[in-house]
Amino acid sequence: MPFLLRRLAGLVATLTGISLVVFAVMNVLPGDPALTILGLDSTEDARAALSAQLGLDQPVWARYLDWLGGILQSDFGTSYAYRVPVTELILERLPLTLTLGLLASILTIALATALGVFAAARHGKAGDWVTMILSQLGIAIPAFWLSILLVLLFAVTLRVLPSGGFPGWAEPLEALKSLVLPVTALVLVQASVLARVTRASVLEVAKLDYARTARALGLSPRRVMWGHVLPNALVPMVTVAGMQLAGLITGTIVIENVFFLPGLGRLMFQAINNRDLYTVQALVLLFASIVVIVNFLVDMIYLLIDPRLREGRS
Amino acid sequence: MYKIRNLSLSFDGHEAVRSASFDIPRGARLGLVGESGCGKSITALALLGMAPASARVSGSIEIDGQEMAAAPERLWRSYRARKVAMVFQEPLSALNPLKRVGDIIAEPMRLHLRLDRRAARARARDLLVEVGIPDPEARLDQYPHQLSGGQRQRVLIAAALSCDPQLLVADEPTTALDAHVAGRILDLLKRLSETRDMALVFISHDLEAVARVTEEMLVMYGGDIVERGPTAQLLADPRHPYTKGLIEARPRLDALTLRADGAPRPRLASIPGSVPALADLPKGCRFAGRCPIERPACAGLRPAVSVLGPGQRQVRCLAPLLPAKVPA
Ligand SMILES: Nc1ncnc2c1ncn2[C@@H]1O[C@H](COP(=O)(O)OP(=O)(O)OP(=O)(O)O)[C@@H](O)[C@H]1O
Ligand SMILES: [Mg+2]
Repeated sequence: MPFLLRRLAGLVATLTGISLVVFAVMNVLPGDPALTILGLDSTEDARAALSAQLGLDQPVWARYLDWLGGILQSDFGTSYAYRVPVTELILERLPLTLTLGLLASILTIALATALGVFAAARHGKAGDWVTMILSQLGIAIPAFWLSILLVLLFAVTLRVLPSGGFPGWAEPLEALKSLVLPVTALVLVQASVLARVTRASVLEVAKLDYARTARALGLSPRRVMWGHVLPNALVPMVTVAGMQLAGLITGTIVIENVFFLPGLGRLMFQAINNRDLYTVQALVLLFASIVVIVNFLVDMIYLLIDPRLREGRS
Repeated sequence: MYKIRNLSLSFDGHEAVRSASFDIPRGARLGLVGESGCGKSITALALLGMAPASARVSGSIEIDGQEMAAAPERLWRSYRARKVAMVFQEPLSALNPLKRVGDIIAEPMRLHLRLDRRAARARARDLLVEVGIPDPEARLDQYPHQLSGGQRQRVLIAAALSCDPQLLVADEPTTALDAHVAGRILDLLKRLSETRDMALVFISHDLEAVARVTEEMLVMYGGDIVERGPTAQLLADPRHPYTKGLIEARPRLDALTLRADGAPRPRLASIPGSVPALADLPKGCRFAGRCPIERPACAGLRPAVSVLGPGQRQVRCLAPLLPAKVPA
């Protein structure tokens, strides 16, 4: 399938471009890593020696190639702050962020679809209004503020869930409990947006002739909705859901810091504070790659959904 | 089979269909004509229990002795496809673009007749043959956008026929097609009605098409059935001034030929004015205000139906036109 190959080649090119931008931006930012590491009272000589040791005295292009070559062998360099390979730091924190992100994505899509379809099916009635008002609230409230409200209610007042921190995966139930509030804070905002898109898209499609054809053939409203209307409403939903993933990543950074979850978002925050160049570079590259790969998957999902788009592409 | 009595459909208190009464006997082919907005489509939809949600429906719709006007949606659903089916105007938008032709046709059969996948597919294939689609086996796996306009309309007809309905309602099924293709679809509808002994309600603006397909026709104006009778008789000898206007206003070849300077010839005759909005229709005869032979009483008084001659001809007019030819 040459089309798929072309898209994959494009994907690799985009990722390379991103690596270039990330590297360039990180290397023109002010701040001398050697100074950060050794402190203000260090000597000029000690800093120069450390710079040489870190390879910072090399020309920029040589450092880029070096970094890129390392990445291809999954070596993202060594963290200045922690003195361990960045890869190790990332792998250690990845499961938490991945769990948070995946749980939030799945719940966002499920909740948004259910709410959007519910509202559309009750178009103009009370259920529709309530859903729309709640989702408007969900969009208007910043995630971190919502987090604080959730903590006040469930952790401080009701004392049913932890207010933050992460006990580790050794106790899966406790681990999940500590994720409930962060996931909720992420999902409510994202699902509010997606639910509105779903409702609008479903209402749009439900007006179309083929929905009426399906009804005229004796299909129940449920079959018409799930078998004919929703599949046709998916394209705008997938588009928005894809874009939301970027929002979910920034959301994760905020939420992990609010709830003291030792994931990639928190690592990112700390690495920026520490001028931990290689760690920041690796994380930015990772987050950017996730967005690009998701966009690629979204394009593939379009093709899966709509035979008209497949035409002439295979 | 179908017995419709005093069927009214109103929006916000304005009657878009005003106490329509007619029968659809088994195997009959009935034409429904009239200008845009006269209530053809909502009447047709009412035959499937699918009048718009905002419409207030009153009167009686009896199907095989069962009163359906106030029947629950559930009962209607079990009648659709099995007793009555409908094909719509725009064949591309009326087909789900994400489903294969075979699945579109098979779905009602799997649902209503509980056929398994294989049996439904086999019947779908037979239906494609019946509606005249070549290479049916390959078509089953194609998507609607891969078919021509005429083939799409045939697929829609095949889906409508899938559960052997006794009545097929076709709402302007050929408006979106070019003349040659449209003609073949008309012949197909007529043939299907004959071979299946299936009634057909055929809605159209096009009097030639109605003449080609139907034996009996109803003329609607402003929600009233103003005239009805055998199609050929009615077209040859209209008694309602609206019907007469409709016949005289229809585009004919001589009206379509170009003048010497290249501009189209103006139509020789057309009904003056345009159809008023629902709320502005006169209380009495709906045609009052546009009628060339209007009398002072017409706008305020709804004319009764008069039965003409020995036949089944009826006209709703205070002063019906005289017969075109004096009967011998
Ligand atoms: N959902 C609705 N809400 C309000 N009014 C409606 C609705 N549907 C139809 N009407 C009104 O009912 C009248 C009849 O509409 P209908 O669609 O049956 O006309 P039609 O004869 O099929 O016209 P056309 O030839 O354009 O298809 C029109 O005046 C229209 O404005
Ligand atoms: Mg219509």
